[in-house]
Amino acid sequence: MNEITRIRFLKLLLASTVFAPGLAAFGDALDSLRGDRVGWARLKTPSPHWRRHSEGDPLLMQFFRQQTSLNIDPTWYVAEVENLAEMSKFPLLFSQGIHMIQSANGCANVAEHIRRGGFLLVDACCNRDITPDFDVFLRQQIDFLAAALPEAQVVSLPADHEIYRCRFPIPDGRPPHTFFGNVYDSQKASHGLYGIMIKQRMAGLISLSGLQCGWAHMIAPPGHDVACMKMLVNIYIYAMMQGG
Amino acid sequence: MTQLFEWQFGGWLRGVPPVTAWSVVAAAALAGLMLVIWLYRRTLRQLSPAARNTLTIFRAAIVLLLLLCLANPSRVEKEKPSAPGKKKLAVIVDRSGSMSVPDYRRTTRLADAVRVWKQHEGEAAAVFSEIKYYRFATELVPAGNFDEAVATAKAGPETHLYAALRQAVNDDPGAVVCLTDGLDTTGTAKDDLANEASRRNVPLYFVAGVNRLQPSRSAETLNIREIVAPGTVLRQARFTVGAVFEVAAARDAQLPVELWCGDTRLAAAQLPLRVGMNTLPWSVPVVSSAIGTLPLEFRAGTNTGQRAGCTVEVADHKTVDVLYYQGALQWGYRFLRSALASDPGFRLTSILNPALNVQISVAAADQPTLPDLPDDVNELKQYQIVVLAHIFANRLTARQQAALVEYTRGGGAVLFISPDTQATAGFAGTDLEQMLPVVFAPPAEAEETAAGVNNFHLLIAAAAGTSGGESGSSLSRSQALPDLKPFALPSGAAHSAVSALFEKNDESRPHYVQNARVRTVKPGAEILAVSATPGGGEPQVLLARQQFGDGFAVAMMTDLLWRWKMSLPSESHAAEKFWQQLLLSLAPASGGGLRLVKLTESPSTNQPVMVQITGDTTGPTPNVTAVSPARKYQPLTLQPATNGESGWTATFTPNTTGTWEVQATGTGKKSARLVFPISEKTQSAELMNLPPDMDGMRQLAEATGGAMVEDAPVFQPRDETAAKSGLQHVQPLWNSTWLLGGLLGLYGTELILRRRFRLL
Repeated sequence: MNEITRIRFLKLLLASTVFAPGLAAFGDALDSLRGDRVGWARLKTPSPHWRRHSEGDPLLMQFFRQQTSLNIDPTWYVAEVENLAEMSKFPLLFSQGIHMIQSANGCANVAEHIRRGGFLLVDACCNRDITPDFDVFLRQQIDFLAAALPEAQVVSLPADHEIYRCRFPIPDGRPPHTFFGNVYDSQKASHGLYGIMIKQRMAGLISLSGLQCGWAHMIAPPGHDVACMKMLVNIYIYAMMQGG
Repeated sequence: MTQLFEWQFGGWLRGVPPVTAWSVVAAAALAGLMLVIWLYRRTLRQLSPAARNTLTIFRAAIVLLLLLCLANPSRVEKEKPSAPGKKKLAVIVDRSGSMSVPDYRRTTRLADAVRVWKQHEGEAAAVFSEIKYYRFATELVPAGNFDEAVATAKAGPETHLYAALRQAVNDDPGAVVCLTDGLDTTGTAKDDLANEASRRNVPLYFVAGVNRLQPSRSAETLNIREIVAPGTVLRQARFTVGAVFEVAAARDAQLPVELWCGDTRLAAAQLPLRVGMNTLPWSVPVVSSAIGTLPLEFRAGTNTGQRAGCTVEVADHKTVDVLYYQGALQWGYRFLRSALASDPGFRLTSILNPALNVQISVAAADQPTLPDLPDDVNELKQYQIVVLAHIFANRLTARQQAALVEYTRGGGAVLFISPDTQATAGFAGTDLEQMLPVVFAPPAEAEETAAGVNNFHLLIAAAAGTSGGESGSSLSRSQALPDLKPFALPSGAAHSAVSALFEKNDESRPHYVQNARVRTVKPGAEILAVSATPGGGEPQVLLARQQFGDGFAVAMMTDLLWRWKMSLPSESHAAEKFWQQLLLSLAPASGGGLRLVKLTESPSTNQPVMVQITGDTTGPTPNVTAVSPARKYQPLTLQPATNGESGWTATFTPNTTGTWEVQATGTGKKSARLVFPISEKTQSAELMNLPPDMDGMRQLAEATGGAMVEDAPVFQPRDETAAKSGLQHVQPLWNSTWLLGGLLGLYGTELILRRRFRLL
């Protein structure tokens, strides 16, 4: 257990006393601009890892509420891939990977959710035990989509894509990668983001960056968690602000 | 509106006199101070006197501050009471012809009104600091005293009653007293006057002039004032055309009116007439047939001596330019934009509130965005519809709101969408609300509480890091998301292009999740959809529309229906159709049809007749021709209109009695015609001996907080009770962030000092 020194405790107490009113006023101003409420949901697939890093999701929601006026629930929800009605309550679904969905109903539900206007966000975990090969992972997602949603195309997004600047400027147009054990992997680092495109519309996005590992505080350089959350806020807002 | 600082107290202290309440607070303060001193008298460790005193002072300050918070300091905004105060009183005297015509007893209405007013002059002088006198017939003229206001050499030929009252109200007197028979012969609607008087808090009092004059049974004036019809409609579309008839009736009767399309009678009705001046709107739903021109003609009266017509162009396709402004981040935009993108007839320009610091993503270069909502009406006029989605009052400048109002008044359509009662409450009393068909509800205390509890739960859940899982908790949280609710038609709704969107009881009927409550719907507004109430109860207004100037303002009190879209199978196009048809129905003018309005109330031979041409001012000057009963054609010269409206005026002088016609042709196949009789002598409503309009006066008085002045006393000296009867808005100050922060700061400092002195 981390112990806090007396001096540090007193400093924190003093700082919170001094800055609390200002923060409250800022929060009030942001709250007054909130739109209608929406929930963040993880897609529950047959994969045993579908809820991996979900303990970090409330931090992401908190970041959303602090940095944007999105009226997002601080908690996270579950959308069962076999239950289309449940999936349709959420405009954006987060998944650890859709390649594990085997049932015809599950495949059809993912495709139908997207066709109705929903957005699918796939993010690969950085753990080598979960994702041994990121190239293979990407191929698995593309194969799944080619079978379930043949009208969709997966394209690599250029570094000057709007998704890298619609809310926060992402340096160099490169998504922040979380590396397993904080060991740099040049092959993984070469990947950007991949858009699931249906004609002009981006219907989903595939990330190999391990953004979820970043905001869930896996071992990474300081500030990496915030960088990952900023990238995700950009993805979310881009999904909202383009035609469904 | 005055602002005061008050100690409001609370609980049982609220009802007791301030002296008693303060005594209780002082006693509590004294007891608290003594307790603090006693508690710090002995401490765990020995303290120096300075340290002991410092801690005691901090603790005592906290106690005192807490007691002051409990005394509930508040800012109280008091509206001016409706009862007249020590302000000036405006007394205006109607000196039109109808007030001076004697009955068989040689009594005039003016004399009767003067007799009644003389009884109240003294009590008015006691209540008001100053009394100013005016007289009017066609315009308001100041008078030195009451006798001068009453005495005039010649009575006026018309009564511009509402214009005169409006002018008097604009000076912000404490009240206006009008001696009149209530007849306004100009056909002006009294709603604007009532609204303005209410807004300025000026009550109107009427002293009715009554005599036993018998109405003339031979004379009656009839006038088709205007036709309202779209210039262009889509094929097979249902649209509405309307006309406004002005009739001065000497007795209760019925006015037969008809709408014709070529040789086919489309509709007929009998409009009830009451004695006096009548302004009667009549609208008819029409279905456009084949592509081409649809000639429509309204006829009024028994011998259809009055006719007015226009043409409506039926097109296969038209382009609708939509300006979309969004005030908050939400998913509705994605789905609305997608719905409109499926029809190339819609051109969408998007704006996101710049305070959100978010860029709108566009998929193609032909989907423009703007940095902010224009505050110039000319920029707004490029669009046929402006959609305001989930906006906030404090994020729109006064200039932006004024531009929106002017845009709508000039023929644009505004669709206001918000599901948030608290956000809409911010628009109460704004220019934007005056334009909209609904009056917004103030944020109810219960809703505030619910919102507060909700936010509290959200924060607790966030702080606890609540996570989902395969247990029952995930199911329950999933079910906690709100369910979809259907729109419903209000009872007795007439069939229209918009009502058709809510008639079918299948998946094509839109569903919503959240809606804002409104306080009321304005008179004259049309309720298009309400909430379904399967278990009974009062339905809530979800969609309402009203004409505002030449345009439309629509309020949709729900979300942007994206959850409904997500609930539909992907093959369904119900959501797309709904948005497209709703927006199409709101863009009726599309350039506007050509309109002819007869400005001369009662034309006669050898007197100039003036007509106004409006509705197609963007193209070249239309051709206008006067046609005599003998079918002689006389081209007319147009002059730009000088009455503040767009368009032109033309004048001709008929030289013979009979049925005359004025024809106008504009660009394309747009045309309008006006048929009316010319008599030998001018028939003015002023001298038809119409009875006083008691109902109209009473309605105006009641609507503005005034009264009819009769024998009983009307003006009472203002007392304290009356002063307190004005509305109060109480804003508590004890829960101010800074006050609570200061309290926390004091307590934190005391804790730090106690730690420093090793008491903790």
